[in-house]
Amino acid sequence: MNKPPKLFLKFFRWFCHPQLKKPIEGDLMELYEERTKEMGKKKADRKFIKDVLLLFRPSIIKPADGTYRLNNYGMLKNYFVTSFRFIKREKMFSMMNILGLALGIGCGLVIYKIIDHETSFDKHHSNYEYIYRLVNEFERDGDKVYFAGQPHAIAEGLRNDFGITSAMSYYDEDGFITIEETDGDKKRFQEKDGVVFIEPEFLLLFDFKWISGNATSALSEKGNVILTSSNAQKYYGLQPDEVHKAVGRSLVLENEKTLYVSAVIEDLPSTSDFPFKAIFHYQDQDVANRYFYEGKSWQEYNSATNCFILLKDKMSRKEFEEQLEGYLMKYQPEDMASLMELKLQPLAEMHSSSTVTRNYRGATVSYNKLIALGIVGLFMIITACINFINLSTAQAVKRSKEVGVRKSLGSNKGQLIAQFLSETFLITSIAAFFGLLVAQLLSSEIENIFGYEIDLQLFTGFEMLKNVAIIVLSVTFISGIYPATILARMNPILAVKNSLNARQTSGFLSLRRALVVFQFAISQILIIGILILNMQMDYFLTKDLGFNKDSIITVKLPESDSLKLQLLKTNLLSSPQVEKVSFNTSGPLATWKVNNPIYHPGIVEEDPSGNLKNVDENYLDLFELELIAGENYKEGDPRDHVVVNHKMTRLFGFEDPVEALGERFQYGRSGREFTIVGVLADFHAGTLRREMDNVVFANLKWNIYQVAIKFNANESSFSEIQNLIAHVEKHWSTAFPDHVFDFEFYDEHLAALYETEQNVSEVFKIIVVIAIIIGCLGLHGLVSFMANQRTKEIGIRKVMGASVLNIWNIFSKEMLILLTIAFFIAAPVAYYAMNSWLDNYAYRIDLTPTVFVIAILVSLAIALLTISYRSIRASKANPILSLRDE
Amino acid sequence: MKKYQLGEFEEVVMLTVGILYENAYGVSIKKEIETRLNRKVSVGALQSALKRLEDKEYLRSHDSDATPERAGRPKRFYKITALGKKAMQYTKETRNAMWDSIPDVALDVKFVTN
Repeated sequence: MNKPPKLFLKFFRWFCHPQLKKPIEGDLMELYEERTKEMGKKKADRKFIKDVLLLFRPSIIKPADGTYRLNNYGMLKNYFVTSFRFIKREKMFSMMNILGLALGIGCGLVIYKIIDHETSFDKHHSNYEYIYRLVNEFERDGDKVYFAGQPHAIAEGLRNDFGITSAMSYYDEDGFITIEETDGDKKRFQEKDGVVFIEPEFLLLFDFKWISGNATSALSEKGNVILTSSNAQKYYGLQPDEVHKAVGRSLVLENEKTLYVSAVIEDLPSTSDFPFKAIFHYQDQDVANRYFYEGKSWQEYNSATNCFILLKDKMSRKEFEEQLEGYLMKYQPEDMASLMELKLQPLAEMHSSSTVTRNYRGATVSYNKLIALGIVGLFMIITACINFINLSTAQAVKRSKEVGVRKSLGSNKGQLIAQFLSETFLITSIAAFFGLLVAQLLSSEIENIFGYEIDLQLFTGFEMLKNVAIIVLSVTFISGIYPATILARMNPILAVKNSLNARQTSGFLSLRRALVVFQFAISQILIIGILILNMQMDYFLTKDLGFNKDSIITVKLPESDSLKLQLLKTNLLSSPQVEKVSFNTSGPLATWKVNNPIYHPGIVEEDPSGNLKNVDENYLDLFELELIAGENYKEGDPRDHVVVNHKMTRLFGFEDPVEALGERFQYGRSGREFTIVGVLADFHAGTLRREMDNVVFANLKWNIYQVAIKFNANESSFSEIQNLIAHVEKHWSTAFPDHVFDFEFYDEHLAALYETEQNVSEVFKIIVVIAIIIGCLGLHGLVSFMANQRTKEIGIRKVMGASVLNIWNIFSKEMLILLTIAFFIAAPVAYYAMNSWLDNYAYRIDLTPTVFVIAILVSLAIALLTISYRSIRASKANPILSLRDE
Repeated sequence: MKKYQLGEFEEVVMLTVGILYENAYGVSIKKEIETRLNRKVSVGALQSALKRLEDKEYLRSHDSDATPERAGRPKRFYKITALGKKAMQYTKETRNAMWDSIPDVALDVKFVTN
């Protein structure tokens, strides 16, 4: 018998309305038969095809909804009902699954949010893509080094010479602001950040949200001030809705200049590298910056003075950089201009650059760090998925009967997979819900650490919901597909008989082992990481810096009038608690420094520079800096007598410090000569991230910015210290009545310098804990699986007289092997990663085997605890129960 | 007035079902129309017409037992319902009434040639 074209017959069967299908097919077949007899197969085939195609019309095609779909709805509903029942029945299992996934998803979401925050900096400016910061490129030891500070006059020069939009900004950070009330009272504010001086063109480059005033007129003349809404509220006691009333009111800057508010803007978003709060006219900075020289200088560089340009007229970065080649030659002496090359840094890179690490916010976050964070986040979700796979496959044996029955009743593989996937979907959805809670908890934790707000935006934007949906779907798929196929593949006869043995399931057991090894490895890497991180932190905080940092408070000095200081010193020393007082530029270790080139015939190194600190004769004694040769300068000694550190004498070629005494050297380009009278043992003048500096202590009486006070450590009870501070404040305020008193403990100040590392370690700790919890859940899953599989074996062993310990042994032996394998993967990875991290620091700990031993012991202890819980339960089970089945 | 709706092809199908009486199923209807009216009828057109008529309840159907010569598929036999009969009669009567109303002259067509 001839057969019509199969494809078209199938097509017909597919589209035809089920009620019409059989009779019409019958007609078609009858006609086909006849036609083959009449005119042969070929023609009959063609006619058949034509008939089928002509049948493809609305009244014949099955309806899109109706009976056909209803069946599916019912089935899906059934899947969910079964899933719910299963979740309810296996409470422990579901709870562990949901917990693991929730932790993973929560962690992932928060990490996503952090990365999102870090990559969205300054994107709100409409000229985002066209704004560049001018940077200088130096060559140092064959490497290219960048520096963003610019001379004050450069923006105007660029405007005149190239006709482009450019603007200077000088971010002073701190400023002293006084508001004179109408009744003559004075309110004083010592601002610690947000004080900036900008050229009017700056407002044309960047976008601000104007509450009152506008970009063209706000800084049209000297003496204008722009305040953010919150600062206007703070200064003038205004309500948020009446900040516009601040316009026209006055404030006094640094007790010198009276300025008038010309505009009010909304507070800048947290994702801005321009954390401005009070914006002043560029020309008004003479009160805050004594090296301003009316902004005409082409040779004064400082890192707070930046120049921004706008390249909008389709000029590319490269083109303009080419035009800038040799530009500085025009305005600077040749030996200075030839040192560097002007380059452009896109605004987009200002937050994440690893070459120009300074911006007005203080620090950049390099892409590598963000990528590393992203990988950790991904790992968290993956371990959670692995966990889910482990736990679900552990349940497979338990569910074999259900699968067997379903298969016998006609379920096909696709349907079973759909069933288990919908179950996974349900669990993942519940987990996602809890994950959001976890994310909420974590984000408030992270907010405390990073100091910026993480808004999960659950209800304000689709963005987050979209992400959650993506996560739920992908997690469902990744973690559900494997257990689902395993279950669907089961042989129904064996499954119903409940005689699934290791052979049937061993295929995935080995994969499960691999997954557990992977998980172990991740948590071991994290444990090693956090241990090393903490050790390095510890090293930072406890390393001998070469001076004493304890029991010292520092107070800023607004003026350095020597008579006033003398009086202040006498007054301060009147308390028995105060041991020593010294006026100086900064503590021995400070982030801010005066750095200039040094010249001496003995120098071989290229372009060395010296860190100059102006300190009085009590300084060395107060900070307990160790003199190894010569002596300290005394009051009344010639001004050119200086004390240097040992590193500097070695730079001059004197290994023995005594030989360097009396040696003269030149400090700074314009040539001030110094004579060495004393040499100090080396100490850290900068953070331990960097190499030591060459340090010069001089008594030039310039740059006296602070007073250091050493107090009696024996009486350092809380109330004693309070008394001391009250004493200091009283005398300080008498000396400087127009200023606000503020102090710092020097050791706390130093500890705060390692805030970044501290923060990283805090975040790391949270991640490690979560990773370990997830890991434990996974391990528990694996042991449960083994216990389920070997119920009978354990039963028989018990009947034959095995003790609890014997059975515990069976389980832990395998785990020990897996753990060891994991360790051999984790150790090198962790070693490599942490070693390259430590290489960032000039002073670092050495990686000792101890860390690795601790890591494996910790993970071993955690693993054994987890295993013991499940294996002891398995070994305590009554063998009658496990053996009677069959 | 839309009391009975019967298209031209539908009417043909109804008539054929009537003619074939006990033996009216897909292939036989198709062949009957093809021989009597000398025009091609596609399975698709016929089946959709049959379905329409059944939806209008002018026809009703029952399936025969499966027979091996049609690859085990049943035949679906159609019968005219009482409503169907009324519809056919109505159509016929309205046609006749219209025929009768045409004046004879109008049909006495001649070509005028000058």
